[in-house]
Amino acid sequence: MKDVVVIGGGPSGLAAAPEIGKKGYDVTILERNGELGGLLQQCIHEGFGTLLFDKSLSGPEFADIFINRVHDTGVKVELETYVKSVEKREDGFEMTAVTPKGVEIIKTRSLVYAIGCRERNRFEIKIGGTRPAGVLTAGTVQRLVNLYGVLPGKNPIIVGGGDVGLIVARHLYLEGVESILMVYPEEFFSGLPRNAQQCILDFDIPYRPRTTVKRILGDKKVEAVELVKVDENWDMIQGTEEIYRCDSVILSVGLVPYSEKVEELGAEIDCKTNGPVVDEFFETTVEGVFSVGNLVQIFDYVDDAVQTSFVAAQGVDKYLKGFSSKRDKPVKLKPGKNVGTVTPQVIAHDADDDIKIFFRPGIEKEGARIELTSGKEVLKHQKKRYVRPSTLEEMELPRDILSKKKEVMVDVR
Amino acid sequence: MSDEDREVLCVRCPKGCRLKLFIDENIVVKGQECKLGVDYGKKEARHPEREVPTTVKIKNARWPRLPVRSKKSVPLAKIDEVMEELRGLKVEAPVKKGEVIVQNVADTSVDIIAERDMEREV
Ligand SMILES: Cc1cc2nc3c(=O)[nH]c(=O)nc-3n(C[C@H](O)[C@H](O)[C@H](O)COP(=O)(O)OP(=O)(O)OC[C@H]3O[C@@H](n4cnc5c(N)ncnc54)[C@H](O)[C@@H]3O)c2cc1C
Ligand code: SF4
Repeated sequence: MKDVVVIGGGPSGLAAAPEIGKKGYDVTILERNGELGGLLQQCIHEGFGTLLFDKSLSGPEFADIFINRVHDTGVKVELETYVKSVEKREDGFEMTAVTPKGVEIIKTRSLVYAIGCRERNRFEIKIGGTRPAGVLTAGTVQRLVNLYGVLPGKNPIIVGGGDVGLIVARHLYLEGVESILMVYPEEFFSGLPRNAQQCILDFDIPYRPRTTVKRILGDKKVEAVELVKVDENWDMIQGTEEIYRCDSVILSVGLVPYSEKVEELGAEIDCKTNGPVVDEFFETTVEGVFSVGNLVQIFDYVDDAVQTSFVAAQGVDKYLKGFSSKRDKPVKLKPGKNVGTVTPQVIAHDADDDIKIFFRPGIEKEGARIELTSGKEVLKHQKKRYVRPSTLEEMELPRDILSKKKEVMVDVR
Repeated sequence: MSDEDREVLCVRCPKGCRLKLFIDENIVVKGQECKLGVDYGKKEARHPEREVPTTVKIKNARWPRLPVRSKKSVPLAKIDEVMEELRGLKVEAPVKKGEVIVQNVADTSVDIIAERDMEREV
């Protein structure tokens, strides 16, 4: 029986494992790929680590720091090991994993899920038409281009103005494709402004806001798409259809936490984040099961994602020591009208440290006031020069203001 | 205030701070959430520079491509030339992280370095 199994060897798993290992536990990382690093191995652009290391690193460079920590602390690593299912037992958890040696049963006292997110596909955003070859998600293209040197086509169209799409647009431009067009239904790019600037605007790559793809055309291969303009409710405007010739369609239409696995285990899922409901130590509603990184919610910034791992490590330690600081009734944290998501969703412990909360504003605003309220009472407020939905915000939540509270609302005004 | 004063977006990290540049003989940068923004703002005012993240072909490695980047940022206007120089290149594993792959790329006096170790796998 192991003390801790960390499922997923991306940055959040790599950050969690050594932090727990340092406390003297027997920790193993199970990773389905043949190498550690997760998404970061294909994120070859820089911009990682500015908060944690005061340096702008590339994905592989950032990953390397944590891979070294894993090796230095004696954490065990099993590669090409896919965790198929997990069941709760009296004394812990029993998982079925597909490994290079065959199917194995692995037992552990506690679990940290760090399995990240997946990309939305064409059916989730309802693009019609035929099903030819050449329709790919942006993350897949990023992988193809950066690890294999394979381009999806010479004349790609990118649907959606999210970060992955923006970054892929630059890779394709630099690799020398003949033409690129980016279309998206929003008025502005939905990805980070930084990526819009350095991936699209810097190179004058054409883009069309308030536009989407209605249908994909082509028999065996993509031959064209039917573009259509949309209004501010994203409803298609009849009569604005236009055929655009292209040989590949790249979808960058959002990421969703990969929460099916924890849901199967019985964890409650938050319909706003699409990730499991967690407390301030990132414990899910199943005791002994923790969840970190992009599985909790989509972090735009890996430095934030790995912070969840450091905090979760303390939670795992508490759990394994059987040291309970849980309150009788947890305090619920809820997003207000102008807030999209809030994590953690519950404050379950009594302790004396402050809590860091993350929330995604639902609106764009200059001179914003962030408020924590309970009923009519304002518990804390803070000014922020500028907020926008594409930037996840964080805030310290002093534990003492929570005493006797049942529910706290986070809002932006 | 001078006519040249403007707002730019710091692209050094995903925070994307909106920097205010007060441009005179000296350039004063405001609005940065970390010190990297000051340097970025000063450069952006006069000579915009960007980092170039890309890949080169690699033989006998786990993947057919090795991720590389410019050690420092290069002039935005020189990026096409940098890419042209890297396109024909093919290196061979093993490669160590930080190893110089091209010196003084496209006469920018900036080196191109490997982003990761790539072991020899045949
Ligand atoms: C295109 C793109 C660009 C980005 N750009 C930036 C940026 O510029 N700066 C920045 O800071 N952040 C950026 N990010 C975000 C950053 O990549 C994420 O925050 C980070 O990768 C999240 O880490 P993670 O460990 O939670 O998930 P992941 O990196 O996805 O890792 C999850 C790991 O779990 C493994 N796994 C999944 N299921 C199983 C299973 N059942 N059994 C075993 N293993 C499993 C996977 O193989 C993977 O290795 C970007 C993300 C994308 C997609
Ligand atoms: S100023 Fe610092 S924190 Fe702000 S975007 Fe630039 S690098 Fe990031």
